[in-house]
This record gives sequence, C-alpha cells and structure tokens, in this order.
Amino acid sequence: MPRRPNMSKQTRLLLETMLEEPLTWRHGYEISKGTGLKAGTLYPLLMRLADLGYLASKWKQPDQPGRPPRHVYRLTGNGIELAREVAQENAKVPTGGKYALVPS
Amino acid sequence: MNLARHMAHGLVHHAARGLPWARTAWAEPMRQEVDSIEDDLAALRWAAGCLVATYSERITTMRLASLSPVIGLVALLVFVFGGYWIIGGHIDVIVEALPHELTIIVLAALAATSILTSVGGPGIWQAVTLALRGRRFQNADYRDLAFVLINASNASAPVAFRDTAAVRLIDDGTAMLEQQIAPDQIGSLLHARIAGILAGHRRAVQVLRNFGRSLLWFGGVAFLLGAVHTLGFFTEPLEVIGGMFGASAVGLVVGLMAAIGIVQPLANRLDAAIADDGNFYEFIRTVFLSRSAGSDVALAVHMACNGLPEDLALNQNERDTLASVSVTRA
Repeated sequence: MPRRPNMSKQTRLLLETMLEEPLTWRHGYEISKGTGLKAGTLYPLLMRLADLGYLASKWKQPDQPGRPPRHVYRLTGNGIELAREVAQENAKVPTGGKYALVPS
Repeated sequence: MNLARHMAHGLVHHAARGLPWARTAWAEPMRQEVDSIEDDLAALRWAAGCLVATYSERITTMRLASLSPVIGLVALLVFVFGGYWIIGGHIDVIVEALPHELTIIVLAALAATSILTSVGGPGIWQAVTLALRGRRFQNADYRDLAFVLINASNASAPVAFRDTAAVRLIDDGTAMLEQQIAPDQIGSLLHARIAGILAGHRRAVQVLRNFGRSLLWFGGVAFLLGAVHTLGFFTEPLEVIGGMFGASAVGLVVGLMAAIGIVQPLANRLDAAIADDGNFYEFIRTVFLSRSAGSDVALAVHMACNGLPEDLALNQNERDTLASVSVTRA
C-alpha cells in the first residue's frame, strides 16, 4: 500500500465522503458540497491523494450539449482501503477505559 | 457575461498559470470546473479558492531554513553552561568576562577572515545563511527540472528556471546536441562544468572553515592576553588572581566552543548540502548524455530519475504525469 497521507481532519472528511459511494465519479464542486471543503482546501488534498495513488481521475463528457467536460474523481482500490481504515479509526470510542469498535 | 463571471474567469486563469510545473495537469480541470458552475457568484468563490490552492502549492515548494542548527546551538549552550552551573561553576565569572572576550575573539576572527576572503567571493554572513538553509534543491525542484527538460526539447518552449547555473547547463547541453558533439565529449564537458559550479559553491565552505580557525586561534590569543594581564597583579590576594585568570580562560572556552561547536558543524553541513545539490546538475548531465546516445527525451529523463537518491525520487504519479506530458509534446 502506498505511503499514508498526512491525516488532517480535512483529509479524513474527504475520504469518508468519497467512501459513501466509492465507485461513483464525482466532480470537484460536488465533492465540495458533500464535504463543506472550499476549493482552496480541496484541490491540494485531491492533488496529494492523486500523487499517492489513492485517487483516480478522468474527464467526463457533459450530459447536456454545449456544456464543458468536467474532471471527475473517485477513490482507487488503495484509496477505498485507506478510507475504510480511517472510518474504523474514527469509529473507535472509549468504553470503560478500553477501546472498542462501534458496531455499524 | 456579468462582472462576477468575468472576474471568475480572470482569477482561475491566473490560478491555472500560477501552478507549479508539475501541477499543470490540474490547470484545465480548474478552468472547466469554474465554467461548469452555473451560479456566477459560486463560480467566483470557486475561482478564488483555486487561486488559494495555487499559492498553497507554490508555498509548499518553497524551502524554509531548517531550524535544526538553531536548536542545536541553543542545546549546545544549555548543555555546556548548564552542566557547568550544575556542578557549582561560577557563571558570574563567565558572564562578566563574556562581552570583552567575545569582542576580542569574534571581531578579530572576522577581520582575519576578511583578509583571507577573496574579493567577490561569499562573505561570512552569506556563508552562514547558506549553511543554515542547507540543501538548495528539494523534491519539487527535481520534479520541475524534469518538466523543464521535457519542454526544452520543444524549441519554441521557453526555459524559465530560477537557477542560472542549471539554465546555462541546459543551454550548453542543448547547443552541444544541435552541434552533434560526441556523447563522451558531452559527458566530459558537462562534468567539468558541474565541477566548476560546485567548486564555486564550496568557496563559502572555505570561508566558514577559515572563520572557525580564526576563532580558535584568537580564543588562544585572548587567553594569553588575559594571562599576561594577570601576571601584573601577582601581589594581589589569591582570590583576585584566581578570578582574573578564570576570566582570561573564558576567552579560550569561547574560542573553542564557537569554532568546534558552531562554525565547524555549519561548514560541514554546507559541504554536505553542496554535495547533495550536485545531484541536480548530474540529473541534467544524465539527460543530455542519454539524448546524445540516441535516447528520446522521455527515456533520458526516466533514466535520470532512476539515478536520484530515494529521498529525492519522484513518486509514481509524478512519473506518470511526466510520461503523459512527453507523449503530448511528441
């Protein structure tokens, strides 16, 4: 598995949001709406994840004629694995002094 | 087109043009995303975010002087004088003697070093700054260099790069390829050029080493002057003579610490950084050597990337982007 990116709160939020529909291609504005992250924060995160091989991208032709094509993104296999790890880490809660996974 | 949309276009155009070389693949996605957002104000906000992202990427590639030498210096002073104080040493003697000892030793060493330093060469302050900065070229610089070398194969693409020595090397390599000079000659010529570049950079190391030697010797001079001064007070009580002799010994301590604890490590650090920076120029040489032997530019850059140390190596995504850029340029 590639090197783990720096796990900031924003990175975790992005991964969790992308994990909701891991096979769906989404454009940047849609991801921004889902995470609440603005373009200034989102693009550097997308760039880092793409550099590390966790994010795939492609050009998608528009549904309506006359509209420009858009760059869309989704997690790679490694990205899905990482997002699941992050989701598990986030779900850990203390129970009587011990850590246990919260049942889904 | 209303004002907000017009401004959005301007901002995203500026953002796209401002991206570092290795992020140029993100320029068109940014532009198209702004065009795809129907609401004009939302598009303007998105474009402003793109500009923030561009500057964030630019700032990320900027190198800051490492704090480790400064931390090291503070730690050195704390351990030496802290240890001395813990065992019951008289810090007041040192504090009282320090101003005039420092004046004699440091100013004298600066003066002596300036006699040794050649005109037009780096000064002590410049040498210290270079040592604190450390290695000049980081991962992002190698990434940018790889893109520049690929674009340089296109005669109409301007080569804009901030290191003048690297630009001259690239220009020389390009000229030698055009003149169809034999590969072994290209290799030798570029090797000699690189040796000259690094020798120029190492003048700063020599300045630091001269300064360190001067500090050491003038620490000794300060001690001897203090001892001579003390001899004139031999009829005084023992505690007075002891205090004076102790104060004169401070000069020796200051000279030793400054030379061996501070300046020499800085000189060694700079020397190591210059050796690391040699990889940058060797990258250029490898590319032109490979091209003169008949390799296309993509293969030549790939071979140069393979020769990089692990901590400077390009990651897979950067290599893929390079490969796609070279196909586009072909």
